[in-house]
Amino acid sequence: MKILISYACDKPLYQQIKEQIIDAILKGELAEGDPLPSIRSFANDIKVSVLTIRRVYDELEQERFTTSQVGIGTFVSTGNVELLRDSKRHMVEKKMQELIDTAKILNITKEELNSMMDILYEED
Amino acid sequence: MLLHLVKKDILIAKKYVLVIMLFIIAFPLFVTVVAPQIEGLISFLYIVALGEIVLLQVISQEEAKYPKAAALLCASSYPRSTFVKAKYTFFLLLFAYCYIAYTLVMLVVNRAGVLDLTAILTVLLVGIIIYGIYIPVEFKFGAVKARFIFTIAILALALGPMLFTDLFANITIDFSALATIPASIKNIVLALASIAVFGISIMASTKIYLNKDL
Amino acid sequence: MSNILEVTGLNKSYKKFSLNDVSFTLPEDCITGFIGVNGAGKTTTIRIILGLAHKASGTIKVFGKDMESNEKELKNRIGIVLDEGYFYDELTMDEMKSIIAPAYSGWSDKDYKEYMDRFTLNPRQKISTLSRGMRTKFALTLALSHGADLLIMDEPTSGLDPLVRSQLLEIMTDYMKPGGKGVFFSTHITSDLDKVADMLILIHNGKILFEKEKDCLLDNFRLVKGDNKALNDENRKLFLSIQTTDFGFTGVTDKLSEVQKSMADILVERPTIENIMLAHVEGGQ
Repeated sequence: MKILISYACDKPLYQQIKEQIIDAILKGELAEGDPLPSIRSFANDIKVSVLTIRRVYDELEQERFTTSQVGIGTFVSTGNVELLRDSKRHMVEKKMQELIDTAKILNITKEELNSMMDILYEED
Repeated sequence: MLLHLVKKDILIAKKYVLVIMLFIIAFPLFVTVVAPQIEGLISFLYIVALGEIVLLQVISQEEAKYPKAAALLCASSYPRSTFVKAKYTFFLLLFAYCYIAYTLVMLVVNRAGVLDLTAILTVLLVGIIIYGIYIPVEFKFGAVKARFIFTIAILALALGPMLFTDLFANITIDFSALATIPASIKNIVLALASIAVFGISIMASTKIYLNKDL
Repeated sequence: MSNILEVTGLNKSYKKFSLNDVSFTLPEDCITGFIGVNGAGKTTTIRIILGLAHKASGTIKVFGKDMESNEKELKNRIGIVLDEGYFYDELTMDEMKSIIAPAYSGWSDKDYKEYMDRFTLNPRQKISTLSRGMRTKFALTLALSHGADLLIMDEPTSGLDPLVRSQLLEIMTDYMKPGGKGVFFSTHITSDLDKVADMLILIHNGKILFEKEKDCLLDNFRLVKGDNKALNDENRKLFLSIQTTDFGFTGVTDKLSEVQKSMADILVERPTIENIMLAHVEGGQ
């Protein structure tokens, strides 16, 4: 699993980490049932605070991507239809976020973006 | 725990302790040989007084050089009360050493010089009174100020009789009555008095030290 | 997750300085940095926690138990590294150890020897001949050799060269690995905290200014640089602190989106802990 954090990026650290883990799960790099690294060693390796990793793991569990067993560890959840659906939503959301980021840099307003969206959606 | 703190005091003043220990053996020997007319009691009193006071001063001096070291020890799980008790334990241990050293020397050199229980207890009481006042003063005001106060006090006491000779001339205490009291009663009274002074002094020192900011 | 150290409402007055209502909590498994400028109250707070100075009011709980009523038991589990001058310099390290070791029921001579070897310290060497770095390493050895669950350190890295500092920080992280431990260290060298701290507590003039997760602080605050002309009375309030030169301003803010709406052409960067600390300290004035 590859986790690269950018300190130049505006996104909060825990969000970057969480999204990259979700990516890995959706792409199959982390298979169902695979264990995630322990909070402490993970925090040490990527040089962030244990509290941040704890938050990432908590949210991943809340969003049903992982399950944790006390004393054993955290594992990727198995067989979750909702997960797939949400994952597709997640992929679209990710693309939309990229879209919005680009638009902001080019100073395109939300209204312009929405009208562009309306036009392009109908074209199909 | 207690003994380790006593050991600490000895460790930090190693060389001085050694010198004094030797002196305590040498002095009675020297006196008996050179000036046998001097009573054994005086020489015993002398080694106790010197040993206790000098070592106390030296140890306090070393302690004062590194004040944070005591702080570190108190921050560890040595209770402050044990610190206090260690100082008094040191007094008792040194007294015991003086007695043993003196008695052994006397047994070898001059049997008559061996002291009876009453004499020992009297010296003990005198020592405890002096020590028992000095220690709480040192805990309260620190080693330097305590030494200053004591020096002044001793000088004043020494001068007292000279300055007020009239006053003292009229006081005649009849000591002859004391001689008729049986030894065992004298011993018990001396022992109880020693314990009492000891106890009060420890309580005072503990209270002072417990409330001090290190 | 339980709390290793809970300090509530500490108050203490000296002639020219006082601690006001100092309260904070150290969660388990965290390295907490206690930061502040010199004289802010870090050492005073630590001395009160360790029972060296007496508080006027407040409570201190370690491992959930009150410090005053369980002093001996709790101090047994705390490892201490204090700023300079805490040894009897005339003694050798072994002699000093022989005095300190009996105070702790969990003392391990094996651990002691291992750390002395790791730090290449000669136990028979006199303490007065040690360099500053070696003294700190020795203090750390003593603190780590009795199975302590909480390490309290007052400015452990000041006066040390970068290599020794980084060794120390590595030891701190190693110490945390087994779990159930905590580290609380005060420092004004914020770059060390960038590397290892999980939580940060800032104290200034005897008051706690913040108690936050380090990553949260670095996520929420931003360093903004722009043209002086872009500043007005309204948007100044969005900044915690602002410094202006002839060539522009630099400000620290946690309201980045509002700042972005209010002015264009700005440079946005992640702050360092030092930026954040100074912003809080200066911002208050």
